[in-house]
Amino acid sequence: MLFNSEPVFVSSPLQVSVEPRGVQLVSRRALGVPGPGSVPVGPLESGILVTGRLQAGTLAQLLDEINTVNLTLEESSAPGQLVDDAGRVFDNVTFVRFEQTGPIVYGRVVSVPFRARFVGLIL
Amino acid sequence: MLCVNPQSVWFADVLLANVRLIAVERRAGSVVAAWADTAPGVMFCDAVQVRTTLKVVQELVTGDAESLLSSPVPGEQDELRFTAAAQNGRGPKVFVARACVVGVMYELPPGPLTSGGSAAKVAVRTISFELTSQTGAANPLLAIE
Repeated sequence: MLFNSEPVFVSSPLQVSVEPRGVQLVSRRALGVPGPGSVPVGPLESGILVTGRLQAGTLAQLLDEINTVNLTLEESSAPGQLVDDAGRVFDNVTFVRFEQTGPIVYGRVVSVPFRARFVGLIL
Repeated sequence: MLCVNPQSVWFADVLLANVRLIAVERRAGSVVAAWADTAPGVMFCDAVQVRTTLKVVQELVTGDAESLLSSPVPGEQDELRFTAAAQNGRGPKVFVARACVVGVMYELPPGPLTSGGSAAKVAVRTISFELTSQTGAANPLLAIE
């Protein structure tokens, strides 16, 4: 997977899903507009969810990879292009969230499951 | 690992008599697997929370009051030590582990129990142990000789 042409989540098999697309609605009542129903205010901000499991030979190497992801997260305030391993391209998305979804576990290698979220106007 | 007819088996300071078999089994407490979007097969698999268990299969015979009337208690933890017979030109090998009793089971042979003057098998007892190590990272079963 590439974000702004840089590899991310390098050690992990990845699964990508796209959040709902559509139109953002606000109720007329909330806007103080008389009548029933809602008013469309523009396209819904959609997200791309990436799940996987980072892995490394040692805990130190795994923490290094997690730090690399966190640095990418901190430095990616501007939208960029995301390309998943299947070749799908998502333009103008921002990397906004990275979370470990389970404990670090020790087996043949050290690994941790994660979920990342990119948001943007996916049309 | 399978050890048939070990020469001696000790748990704590108790000699376990007439042991016919020791089986050391290793398995994952849980398995993690990960898939990618690009293919149906598993791309990553690892066994975590590995467990090493050991079973002592012991024949109980008439007249062995020590074995018939006493039993390790689940939760009891101490040193387990056994000597495997010489094989392939190598001498006997002593194994030692920190072991916790997790089960004591009896299997009775069909038919009436044997009675009489000579010692005869009356039951097979299987004692199951979970092997532990101080850090969890080392092999809990050590060959020391």
